[in-house]
Amino acid sequence: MSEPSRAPLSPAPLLEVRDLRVSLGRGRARTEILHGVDLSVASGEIVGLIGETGSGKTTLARTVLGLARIDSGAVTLGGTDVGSIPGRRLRAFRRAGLAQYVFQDPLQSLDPQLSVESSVGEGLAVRGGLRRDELRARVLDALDLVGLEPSFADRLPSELSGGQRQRVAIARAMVLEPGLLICDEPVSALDAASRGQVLELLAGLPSVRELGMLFISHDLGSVASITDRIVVLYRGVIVESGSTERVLTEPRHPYTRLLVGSAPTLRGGAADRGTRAELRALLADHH
Amino acid sequence: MSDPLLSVRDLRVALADGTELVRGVSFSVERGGSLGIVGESGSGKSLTCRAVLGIIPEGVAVTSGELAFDGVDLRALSYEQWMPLRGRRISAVFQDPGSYLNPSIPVGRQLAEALRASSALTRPEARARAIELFASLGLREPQRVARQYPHELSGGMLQRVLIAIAICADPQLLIADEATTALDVTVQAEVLDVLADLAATRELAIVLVSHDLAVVAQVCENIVVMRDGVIVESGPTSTVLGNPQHEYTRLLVADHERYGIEKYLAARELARV
Repeated sequence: MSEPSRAPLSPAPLLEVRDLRVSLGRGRARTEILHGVDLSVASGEIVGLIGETGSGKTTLARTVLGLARIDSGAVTLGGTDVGSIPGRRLRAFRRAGLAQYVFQDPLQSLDPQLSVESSVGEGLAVRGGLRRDELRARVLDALDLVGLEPSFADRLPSELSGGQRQRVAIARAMVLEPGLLICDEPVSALDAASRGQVLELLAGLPSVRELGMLFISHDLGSVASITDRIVVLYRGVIVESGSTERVLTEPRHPYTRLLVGSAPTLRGGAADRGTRAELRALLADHH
Repeated sequence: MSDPLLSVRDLRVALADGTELVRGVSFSVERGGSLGIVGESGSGKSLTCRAVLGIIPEGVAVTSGELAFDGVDLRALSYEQWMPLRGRRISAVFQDPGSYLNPSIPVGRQLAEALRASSALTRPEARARAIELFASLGLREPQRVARQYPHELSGGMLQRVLIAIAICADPQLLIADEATTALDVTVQAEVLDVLADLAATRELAIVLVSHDLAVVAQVCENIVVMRDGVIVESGPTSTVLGNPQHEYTRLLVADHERYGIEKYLAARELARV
C-alpha cells in the first residue's frame, strides 16, 4: 500500500535530523543513545514521536534544543545547523526561541512564586526590546491563544487546575513565536476532562500560527488523536514512520505491532496474548 | 448465594476538620471475583483501598461505615489482630514497585523471607519456592533474577517480584492500586496478563484500581466509577462500558473513543472483513 504523501508546506523542512548519533555519560560509562536517527518536521504538521522508556525520545528532543552534544550527523532547525553553533552562541540561539518546549508536569516547570503574567512574559523580558505595556499585551495575546481570560494573568500556579497550568506552559512557549513546538508527554499528568481540552488546543495551534510540532509520548492514544505522522523510536533507532493512520492500522515493525497490540482499549487488547508473545520473541531475536 | 469476600458499606473517610474525602462508598467483591475501581486523582479510590487494608494515612480517619472481610469486621481489629490478616489474606501492590523493596538484598531472598514469615518452610525450601513463584509469574531465568538486586531489574520485572511477594502466602484478596501506571504500555499489558491469570487460576479476588477505564476493562468483571469521594456508577464491565449511565462515565468512554486508538482499531477491523 502506498503512503498517503503530505506535500511539505515549505521547501525545506523546519526541522531536519540526519543520521544523528548522540552519546550520554563520560568515560567508560559513555553510552550511545541515538544510533543514526533521521526525522523531519515541516511547518504546519504535527509529528508524533513514540517509544518506550529509555528509547531516546527525550535525548532527541534535547539535542534539537542544543542541550546535548552531537557525535555525528546533523540537526538543522529553520536553516541553522544546531551542531555547528559554537558554545558561546548557544545561549543566544536558545534565547531566540525558534524551538520551544512544553513539559509533562506544569507544576514543576512553572515557578510557584511567579504570577502567570511573569511566567509567560519572562522569555520576552529576557529577550528585551519591549515596553511594559507591549509586554503585557503580548502576554494577554498568548493567554487568549490558549483559551485563558486576561484575569488569569495575576494568578499563581497554585491557584490553577492541572489543565489551566498546562495551558499557561503552552502560552509561555507560544509567546516567543517559535517555529517548532516540542511537547514532551504534555497530557500524561492530566485527568480525562482536561486531557481532551489540552489535546484540542494543541491540535489547533499549527493552523493559527506558523508552527510545526513534535509531540513526544509513550501513550499511543494521545499521539493517535492529534498527529499527522508517527515516528517510532526503539532502542535509539527509528524502526517505523508513516502517516498516523497507516502506522496504527498496518504497523509493520514487530515493536510497533506489539505497541499497537498492547494498548489497553475499551474493546479489550488489540492483539491476543499469543500474538504478543510471538512479537516479543521476534523482538528478542532482533537483538 | 454465599456472602461476598469483601463487603464495604457506606464507608466514610474524613480529615480531622471533618472534610469528607470518601463520602459513603459501598461495594462488594465475590470470592475469586475481580473489581475495577476507576477515578482520577482525588476521587477517593486509593483512600478507599487503604481503609480496606487498615493503612489509612495520618490525619485521616474512617468515620463511619462497615468493612467486612470474610466475616471479620475490619474496623474492630487492633494492630495485633491485623497482623495475621494483612499481607497474608489481604495483600496489595502499588504504583512504584522499587520503593517497596530493600535495595541491598537480592530479590529472591526478599521473597524467601516473606515466604518464611507466613509458613513453616525451611530456608532451602523457601528458596526453591521463590524461584517457582518467579517462574509462574513469567519472569524468565528465575534463578538468575532471584540473585539480582532491585536496581538490576526493569520496572515490569520489579512489579512481578512485588506481585510474587504479595501472593506468596496465598491471600484471598489482592489490591493492585495503579500497579501498572508507571510501566510502558507493552509491559503493562504483560503485568495485566499476570493479574488476569492469577484471578483465573487461584482462589484469588482482585481489586484493580486505575485512572484508566481501559486498564480495568482488560481484567475486571465488575467496575465502580468514583468521583469526588462517591461512586457515580457501578455494574458489570460490559454494561458500564456499553451503556454508561452517568455523565462522568460517558465522558470517560467518549474520551477513549475520541482520543484513544479505538477509532483506528475499528477501521482495521472493518478492513479485515
